[in-house]
Order: sequence, then structure tokens, then C-alpha cells
Amino acid sequence: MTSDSIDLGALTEETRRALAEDPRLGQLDVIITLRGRRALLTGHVVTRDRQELVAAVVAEHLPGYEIDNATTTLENLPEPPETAEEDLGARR
Amino acid sequence: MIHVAAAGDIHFGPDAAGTLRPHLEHLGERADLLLLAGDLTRVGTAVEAQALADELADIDVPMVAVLGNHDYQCDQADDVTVILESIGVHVLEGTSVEIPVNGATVGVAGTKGFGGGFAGACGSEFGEPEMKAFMAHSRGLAERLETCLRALDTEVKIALLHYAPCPDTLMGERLEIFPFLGSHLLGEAVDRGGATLTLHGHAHRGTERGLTAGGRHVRNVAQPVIGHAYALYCVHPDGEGADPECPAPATVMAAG
Repeated sequence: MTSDSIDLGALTEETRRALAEDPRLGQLDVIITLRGRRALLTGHVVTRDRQELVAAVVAEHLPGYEIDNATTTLENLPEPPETAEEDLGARR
Repeated sequence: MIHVAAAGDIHFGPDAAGTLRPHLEHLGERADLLLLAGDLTRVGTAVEAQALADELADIDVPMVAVLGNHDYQCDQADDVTVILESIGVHVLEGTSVEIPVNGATVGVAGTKGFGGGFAGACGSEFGEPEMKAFMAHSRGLAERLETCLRALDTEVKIALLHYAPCPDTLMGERLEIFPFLGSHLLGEAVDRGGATLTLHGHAHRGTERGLTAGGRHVRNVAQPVIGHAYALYCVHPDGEGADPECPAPATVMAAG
């Protein structure tokens, strides 16, 4: 393992902890992938506001990195369609 | 037949106000009860709980919930519980509730549950006090769940959890974090307590459908998994909840 990869791992974890422990976020469900000088963010957040805040917090911890925020929001999830109910069946 | 609506990991807060209610307005036309599988709030503040309570107020079906790890983050779990109970949500933790539905009675036993891992790769109460406390907490909650399930004398028994009782519904998550996502002790409690259906959340990248070691239905209803405001399940009062083709749980020998 190179010293660069150790540094990247520590940087990733520090940023992940920041997302989890930031009282405005409590965000555990974002994966941070560092490639070159780009940070790819994936996972789910609830609202668009939180999506923007995630990117801002990551940018604070990864200065100089280009943030590619590919997280998706769960805002306004639709009702399940009529056919979605799963029948768990009777005693056989 | 009992129509169950369920969702977990809503992670609600004031910033999400107005986004959930429109999808629940006519829930009574589709479901007999709504079960919420923990992580109801973002970081467990009373303000967030009140935002969710405002969203759920006057929903026209009985509502039952357990809290999740997020709901404990700010040490206001008691306040979160009181606020949700003020609008009629039954908030369970090592407790149960019986709800009459369509001439039958549905019993729901609930606990947040905890981690520890699954058969062949789980922790034990050994070593440092912190490790013993971790596993004792997990075991205590599972034991309480089993006691509640056994005490229910209802046509349908549902176990409502936040943490997972089996690894099936964690598929998609990284194997390294399975011990933080659930415990086989919960699965054993579900099997011994005879739950018709078990619902949980917590694993956002998991899989919806699974079975306990004893072949009982488990569903991961975390919103990122189900992709809808809630999932719907039809449970039959005469159903056992166990797949008869599934063998009984194997006895697992403890490693040294």
C-alpha cells in the first residue's frame, strides 16, 4: 500500500465522519469515492437541501477536489402502484 | 386479510415538511395499519419529531412505530416518543400492541433491535466490558422481543424492528458492516416467537425480501430499498408466516 492510498483512505473516512456527525446532516448513507482530484458522491439523501449541504461539507473537507454530487433524493417518493401489494399467502 | 403499509428510514425533519403527507392522504383505502420501522427523524430532535407528527396527524389508519439509531443521536428519544404518541402512534420498545382489523386481531411486537452479526460471524459477550455491553444490549432486546411475541394471542403476529433479523435483506450492503446492521439473535426471537411477518429498515442498500433461518417472512422496508412512500403487504390471519419447505434453523456450533 502506498502512502498516497493511506492518505486517501484517511481523507475519505474523515469526510464520511463529518457527514455523519454534522448536526445539520447526520448523514450515514453517502459513499465518497476519490479518483485523482475528483470526489464522486453516491447514495441517498432525503431532501434537495440536504443534498446541497452534503456537497458543501465535503468541499470543506476536500479542498481542491472537484465534487461530483451523484446522490439521489428521496423527496416526494410516490405511493406504490395498485399492483405493488405483496400477498404473503395463507397457511399451506 | 390484513393489508399492512410499512416504511422505514424516513429521516424526517422540518426541511422535508409537506413531502410525505400527500402520499398518505388516502392510505385508509389501501391499508389497515401503517408500521414505521425506525429512523423516523434525521438526528432525533424533538423539532424533527414534531415535523413528522404534523405530517402523520389524523392519518386514517392505526400507526405503530419503533425508533432507530438516528432517533437516539441527540439523546431526545423520550421526547420523540412522547411527541409521536401525542398523535396516536403506538411507539414500541420491548412492548407490543394488539389492533383489531377486519374481525381479526393483529399483534405487533416491536424493538429497535441492535447489531452483533449473523450466524458464523457474530460477536459474543467476551473480552472488554464495551464488547460485553454491546452484545448484552443486543441479546436483551432480542429476548424482550421473543417474550412479547410469545405473549401475543392474536391471529397475526408482526415483529417490527429497525435492525435486521437476517442477512438476506442486507444483500447489497458491504459485508464488513453486516455486524452493525443486524443480529441473528433477532431472527431467533422471530422464529421462536412465531411472527407471521417481520419488518425492518436500517439497510439502505439492502434487499426487500428475505427469510429468517426458520423460514419466516422478513421485509426490509427502508425507503431507499422500497422506492416508494411505503410498501404494501397482504397478510392472512390463517397464515403461519413460515415457509414449510424451509428447514428448521440449524444448530450452530460456537467457535472457540
